[in-house]
Formats: sequence, structure tokens, C-alpha cells
Amino acid sequence: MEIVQFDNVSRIYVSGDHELRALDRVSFTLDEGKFVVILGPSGAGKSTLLNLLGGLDSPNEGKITVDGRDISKLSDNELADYRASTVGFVFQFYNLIPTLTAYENVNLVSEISANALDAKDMIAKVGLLDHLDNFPSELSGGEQQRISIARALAKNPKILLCDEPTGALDSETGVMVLKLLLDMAKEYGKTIVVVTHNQNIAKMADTVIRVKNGKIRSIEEQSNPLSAEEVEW
Amino acid sequence: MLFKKLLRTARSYKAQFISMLIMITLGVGIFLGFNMEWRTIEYDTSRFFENTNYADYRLYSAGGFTKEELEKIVAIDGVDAATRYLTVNLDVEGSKNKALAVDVSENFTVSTFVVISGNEYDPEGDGVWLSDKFAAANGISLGDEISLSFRNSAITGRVSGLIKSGEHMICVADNNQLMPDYNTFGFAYISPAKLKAAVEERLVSGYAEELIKNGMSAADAAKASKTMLSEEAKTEALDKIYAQINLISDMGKAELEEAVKAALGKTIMVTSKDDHIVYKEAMGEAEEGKTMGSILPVLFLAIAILTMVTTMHRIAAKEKQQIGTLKALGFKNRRILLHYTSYGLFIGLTGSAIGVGLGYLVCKAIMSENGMMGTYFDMPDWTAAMPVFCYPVIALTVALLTLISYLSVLKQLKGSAADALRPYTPKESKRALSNV
Repeated sequence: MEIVQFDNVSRIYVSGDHELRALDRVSFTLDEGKFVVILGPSGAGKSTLLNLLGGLDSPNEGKITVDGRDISKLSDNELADYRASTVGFVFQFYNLIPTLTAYENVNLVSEISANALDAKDMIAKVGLLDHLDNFPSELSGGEQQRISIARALAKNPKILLCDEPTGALDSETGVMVLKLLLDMAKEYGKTIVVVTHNQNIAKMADTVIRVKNGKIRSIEEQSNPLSAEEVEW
Repeated sequence: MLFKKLLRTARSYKAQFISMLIMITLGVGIFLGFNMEWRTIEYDTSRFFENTNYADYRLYSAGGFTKEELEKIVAIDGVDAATRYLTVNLDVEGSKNKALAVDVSENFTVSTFVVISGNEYDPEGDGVWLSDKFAAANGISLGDEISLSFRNSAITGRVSGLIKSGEHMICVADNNQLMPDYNTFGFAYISPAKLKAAVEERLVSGYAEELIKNGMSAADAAKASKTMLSEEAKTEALDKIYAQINLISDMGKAELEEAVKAALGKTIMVTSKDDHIVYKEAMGEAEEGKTMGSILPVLFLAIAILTMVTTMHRIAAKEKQQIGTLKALGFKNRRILLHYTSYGLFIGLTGSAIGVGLGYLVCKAIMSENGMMGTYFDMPDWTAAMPVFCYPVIALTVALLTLISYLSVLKQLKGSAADALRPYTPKESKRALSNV
């Protein structure tokens, strides 16, 4: 069942007389519950694509439908509601609030999400119950990313959007984080979209979308994706 | 949760928060302190003047005023109260270089006093109502006897009450004395009955001296002077001594002068309270305070607000990614604005609250019995008062500080959530003098 539909979507940035087509008439669909990797070099437009899907930005042209709802023309407030209810983000640099503890960072989403899951349970799932009261500065990079995943899942979103989730981690921690992401997504039945330039992560995906110069180069379905442990880094 | 974040963020920016708090506290404190100072002078002195029926006008006549003349003055439409009045500087007997301004308010409706301790005023009383500060400075207590030189004789009486008077709120012997010195100069009131007795006694003894000079024995002269002096002579002598009429009136000076001339059939010297040293100096101090209060504190307040602008802008820029993260998580702009705007509100309210306390202390350091003005003004009540316009100024300051926070954060929230997530980049500055 399709959960995401991009229909001729363009994102154009204008600076003075210069016009940059970060995304140029992109069309694709994503199925629910799949692990999707959007692959491409820097500047290919993959983060722009993720921003549009996550309601962090709006397209200049085209239509984006998520879970049956057109999000391309939503107002600021409607987009905020969409972000609060439908998508969860995992950022490359974790983006935790430094003045809140691990528990408070995860529990923060309960203030905006009506279907929020229990923050403590989520932290237990990512194996950091012992670090409930630690501030982000007291956690390692891997631990911070795990808290970030717990925060994203605590909103109980339909889609988990991850922007280079292992980009700031060493390979060992990266594998652990990816495994966690996959396990959690499976357990909670979430669709995961990971943006990366790391070819190895693509081997784990059900669907791989290759992006270059703002256009989709290919969409591959993989019938036998590798597990995180099987991927060679 | 966001409230916790507010408190912890404040702690993490404690240097900036403390500097903003200090600036706002100083700005509000100095603004209030200086403005409260002049308002307190106006408020306390005007209350004191009202309580002691401070004279609006003083009429002077070298030959004195009769009771009939006083009645004519009282009858002028627009004169609320008037009394024959005497104020004369007399030396304290038995003490070197000590003197008192001795006052008599004949009907005690104008230029009166308030009793701090001892007996209330008695128009028939034989005592002396003495300045409490003079008494304290010279170790004089209630019931002590005090003797004042009066035309080669003495006015002697026991201290009936210790008092303060608007007429002597700034107690100086004359215009040449800059500051009150209660060790050497004070003031006292005696009753008109006591003055009358002193004048008559002086008249009788003067007349007896004349008789002795003409060959009469001292004993006969003493007897004769008492019986031979007519009531008219005594009244005339008393009239001459009341060289002043003090009155309360809302009339203009020129209007009063005309009315007095018409009532008495002669031109009388009239001075308004604006020319009287006490009122003139008090209002001068208030005016000076107003000038000070409108320049220096405004400058302080402006610096405080500018500090807030730059610091809040810097904090908002530093918090940009957190603002973006909150936005990405699904917090609405309104909620994020409310959260960060509360920083300004918090600083504004806290700084203003401490500033009000500081302002009160500044005011009290100047306007209190033990403060700077305490050595100049002699008043019974030192209640701090705030000009009405200070309330909206403080409210506006808090509102402005809140607005500064609001605008600083609004700037970071502009654009999409993706824009908010990007790190802050300062505006590209234009090259100045690029062709030089």
C-alpha cells in the first residue's frame, strides 16, 4: 500500500537572478512499512527531497501526498501538525535539546503529539534506561543518536525520516544504530526513509532511490536486503 | 518541559542573563530613584506645608498691623485664612552663639506647627514649643527652662512641646546660611498671650526707667508704671510688634496686592511663598531632581534596552538550531515564540522588580531623615512617592523588552522549518571604502 506519492515535484531556490533547481520534476511512490534509502552524492537534492517529505519545506511545483493527504499546499500551522503527527526525524547531528535530559528530550514530543508513546519505554527500547537523567553532553554520539531515535519513535509517527543517521558515527556504532532503526521500525511497523551518500547502507534497503542533479536516476526494489550485521563497512 | 528549558537555558547563558538583569535593574532603579526623589520632595513637603498651614503670602508693614487691619484682610474675598505673625531671631540666654527664630501665630490658623512630643499648642500657654532637632542637638528636654533675650529683658518659659514647622522646614538664620545647624540655630513658637505679657512687661519696665530718670524712686516708678500705662499704649505696642500678616489664598499676587491696597487704603509689601526661602529651596530641589530625572536615568534606561537588543539577538542566533529542532519536531511558531519571548518577559519583570527596589533605596538614600536631604529638610514624614508616569514607563519597558525577545526569535523563525534548522549565518556586510 502506497504511503508516499511524489508527483512532478520541483523545489527551486532563487538567489538574485540565479535560479537553482534542487529538485526537478521528481515523481515516485513509497510503500508502507518499507525501508527506503535515498542515495546520492552531496548536492544531489536528497536532503531537499527529505525536507519536502518531512514537511520542513514546501515544493514550488507538483504534489506530495502522504497517507492520502496532500501536504504540498499546507499552511505553516498545518505543516507543524503534520510534522507532529505523521513524521519523526533522526538528524545527522542528533539535534537534541542540550538543556534537557535524555528523558526530557524524548518526553518533549508528548507536548505536541496526541498519540505519543511512553518516553521511558522508548528509552528502554533503545537500551539507555540508565541514562534517563543524563544531558546530551554527557552521552556519546551513538547514545545521543539512540535517544534521537527514541524521540522520533515516541511521537508514534507513520514515517521515520533519517538524514545521514550514521554520518557522525564510527562504523561500529553506525551498524548498531542502523540495526536499532530497522528493529524498531519492524516492531512498530514504521516506514523508514534514510538519506545517505553511503552505498553500503543501500544494501539494507527494500527500495533504493538514486538521486543526481535534482532528478531521480533510478528506483530499485531489493528482494533480499542485507541485515545491518551483514553489511561490510 | 519548555519551562524547565527556560530556566536551564537562563542558567547556561547566566553571564548574558545577569548582565541584562543588571542593566535593566540599573536602568529602572536609577530612573525610578531620581524621579521618586523629586516626587517625594513635592509630595512630602506639600503635605507638611498643608498640615502646618504654610502661608501662601506674607504682608509686611514696618509699623505693624492692627487687629482691625487683620479683619479687613480676612474679609477679602479669596483669602481663606490670615493671622498676625511675628518671627524674630532671639539669642538663647546662657549659651554662646545659640539663637532661635521665635514665632507667634496670633490666631494659629496660618504658619502653624505639628507637635512631635509634649503638649499641644495652647494660645494662652506660658510654655515654649521648641524645634525637636534643636532640642536634640542641645540636650534640651520637655519641661526644661529656656530663656531668650528680648529687648534688654528675657522671655523665659518651660519647653511645653517639641515641634516641627513648615515655616522652618529649612531652618537657617538668614539667606547667608547655606545649611541648617541645629547646634547653633533653631526655632520656637510661643503663644500670643506670652508675647503680649512679654511686650507689656518690657513696656512697663521701659516706662519705669523713664520715671526713675525723671527723679522718681524705683519703688514708686514700678508702681506708677503699672497703673499709669493705658490699654491703648499696650495695644499699640503689641500692634507694632506684629509686623507681618501671613495668609492662605489661591489669589494671584497682583490681584492680592490690589485687594490689600483697597482694603487697607495703603500699599503693603506682599511676598508670595515663591520668595520664601523654605518653599523656594524645596521647589528648587524638586526642579533640580526633575531635570536630573529626565536626562541621566533615561540614558541608563536606553543603554539597558540597547544591551537587551544585542544580547537577545545573540542568544536567539545561538539558539537558532534549537529553534529549528523544535519547529521540525512539530512545535508551532506561536509556541516557540511564546517560549523565547518569555525570556524577555522574565528579564523585564525580574529586572524591573529589583529595579523598583533599587529605585526605592536610591530615593531613600536621598530623601529620608538619615539620607542626604535629612540634614537639609526638617519634616515629620518621609514617605517615598512615585510619579504617576513611572508606572506606564516601567510597563512599557517590560513590554519593550518582551517585544525585543519576540522580534529576535521571529527573525530566526522566518521561512520554512528547513531554513530554521540551518545554522545562523550573519548578514554579509557591505564593504566600506572598497575603492580606497
